[in-house]
Amino acid sequence: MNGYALWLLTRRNLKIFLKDKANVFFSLLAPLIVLVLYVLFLGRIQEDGLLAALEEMGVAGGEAEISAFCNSWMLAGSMSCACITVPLCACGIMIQDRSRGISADLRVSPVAGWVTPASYCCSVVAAGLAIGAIVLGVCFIWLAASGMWLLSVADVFGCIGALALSVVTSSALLVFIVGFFRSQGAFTALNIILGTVVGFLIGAYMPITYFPDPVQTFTYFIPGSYTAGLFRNFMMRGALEAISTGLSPVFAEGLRTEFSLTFDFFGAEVGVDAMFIVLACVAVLFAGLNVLAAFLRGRRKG
Amino acid sequence: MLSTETPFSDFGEEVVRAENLRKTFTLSRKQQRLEHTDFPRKVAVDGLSFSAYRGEIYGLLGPNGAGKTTTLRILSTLIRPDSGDAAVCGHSVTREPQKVRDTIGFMTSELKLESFFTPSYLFDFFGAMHGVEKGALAERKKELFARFGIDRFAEVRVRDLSTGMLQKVSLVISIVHDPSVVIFDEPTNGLDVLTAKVVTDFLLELKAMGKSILLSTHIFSLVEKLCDRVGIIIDGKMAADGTLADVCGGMSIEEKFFEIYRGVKGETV
Repeated sequence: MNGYALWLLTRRNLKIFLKDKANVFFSLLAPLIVLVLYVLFLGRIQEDGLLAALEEMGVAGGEAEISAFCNSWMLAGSMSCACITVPLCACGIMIQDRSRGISADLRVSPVAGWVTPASYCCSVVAAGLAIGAIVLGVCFIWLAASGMWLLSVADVFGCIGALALSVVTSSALLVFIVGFFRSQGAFTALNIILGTVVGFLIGAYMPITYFPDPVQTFTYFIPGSYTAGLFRNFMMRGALEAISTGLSPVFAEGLRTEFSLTFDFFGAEVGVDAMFIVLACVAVLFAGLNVLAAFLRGRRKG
Repeated sequence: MLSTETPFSDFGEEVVRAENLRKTFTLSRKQQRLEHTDFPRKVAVDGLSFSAYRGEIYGLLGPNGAGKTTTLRILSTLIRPDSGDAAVCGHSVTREPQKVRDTIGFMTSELKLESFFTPSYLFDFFGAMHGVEKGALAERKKELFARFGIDRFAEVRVRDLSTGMLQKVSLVISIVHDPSVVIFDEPTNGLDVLTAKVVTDFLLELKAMGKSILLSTHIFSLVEKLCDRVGIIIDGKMAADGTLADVCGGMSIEEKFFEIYRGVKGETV
C-alpha cells in the first residue's frame, strides 16, 4: 500500500508541476538567460578574446574550433543551471501543499508518515530528470545543427550520467532546505535569489577564474560548481581536443584551467572522478538529512 | 500515555474515547505579544477527556482558541498529544495512527483542492490513497456525485467551480472511503445558506446510516439542530460534557454556555 501511495503521490506532484506552464518556464529562466546573453554578446566577446589570444601566440585561424569551444561552454553552463533551478521550482509544491493545508489532507490518508515527504523527493527528482533531459536534447541538437558536434559516445553518456547525478544531488539538497520554509513568500525569495546568482556562482556567465580568489574558493563549496565541472568536461572535451591537435596544445591546456574543467581545491586538482564522488557524497549526505528531518517532524506531529 | 497492553481493544459502542489529552504549543514572540503574555508556551488542550458513541453526532462547542480544532487534529492523527491518548474505533491515535486514518474521514471548512484537477480525478486519487478498490470506487463516485449534484461537473476543473460546489467536492472526497467516523472542523463556516443546509442534512443522513460524527463549532443553533451529545470546551478544559438535555438542564444551549463560561472565567462576556 505504501509503495502504491508513493507512486500516486509522486505522479500527482509531478502533474501539478508540469501542468503549471509558468512554473516550468520560470524553472528554465536561468538557463534561458545564459543562452540569451550568449547569443546577444557573451559568445562574441568570448570568441574574439580567445582568437586574439591565439593570434598573440602566433596561431592563425581556428575560428571553427574556438566557436565550438565557446558554444560547448555556454551549453554546459545552461545545463548546469537547469539541474539546479528545475528541482528548485519543483520544490514549490511542498510549500503550496503546506500553505494551503493540503498536506493535512494527505496526512490523514492511511499511509506511513514517510510516504508524503518521500513523494516530494521523488517528484522533484523526476521533474529535474524530465526537464533536464529535454534541455540536454536541445543542447545536443544545438551542437549538431551548428555543425560543431565533437562529442564522443562516451561524452554523451557522461552528460546523461552527470545530469542524473546532478539532479539527484540538487534535489536532495533543495528538498532539505525548502523543508524549513513555511510561506510562499519566503520560497519565492529563495527562488529569485538562487535563480539570479546561480549563473554567476557556477561560472555559467563568465569563467570562475575571472573572480577574485576568495570568491573562487567559495564557489568550490557549492555542489553546483561540480555539476558545471562535469558538464564542461563532457561537452567541451571534443572541442578542446580539436584546439589541442589543430591549433596549440599549450593554449588548450590554458583553456582547461581558465574555464574550470579542473579545479584547484587548496592545492589538490579536482578532476572528473573527484567531481562525481563529491556530488555523490553530497547526495547521500542530504538524502540522510532528509530522512532524519522527516523522522523528527513525524515524531513531533505524530 | 495509557499503560495497559491492549487499550481500547473492546470499544463496543464507544467509537471515540479521549483520555486526559494535553497539548501545548510554542509561541513565537509575535504570538506572545498578541496573547499579552511573556510565557513562551500556550496550553491548547488541558487534560481533555470525553467519549463519543456509534451513530451519534458529538459536538465540541467553545469560543475561538478554546482547543476544539487542536482536539480534532489530535483525533485525526495530524498532531500528537504531549500526554494522554485517544482511541478511535479501538485504535490508539499515538500508537496506531495508520489504523485510525483507515476509519476516519477528516474535513475542515477550508477549501484545499488543486485548481488544475477535476473532481473526478481528485476523488479517484484520494480513493486510491485510501486503498479503495477500483470497482467500489467507481460505484461510490457515481452515488456520491449524483447525491450532491457533482456529476455534471465531474470533469470540470476545480478552478472553474463555484464555492458551494467546491465545498461539496471537499465533502465527498473526505468520505471517499466510507469511514465509520467523520471528523468535521467547523462544518458550516463560510458556507452560503444553501450549501450549509446540504452539509447539515448530509451529516444527519450519515448519522442515520450509523456513522459517528464529531464536529467542532461555535454556532449554538448548529449544536441544537445536529448534536446528540455536546462537550463545552473553555481554555482547553472540558467544562461540561453529556447529552444535550443533560448539559442544558432545561435551558437553551446558548444560555447554558454563557452560564458555564461565567462560572469558569469569572467574567461576563
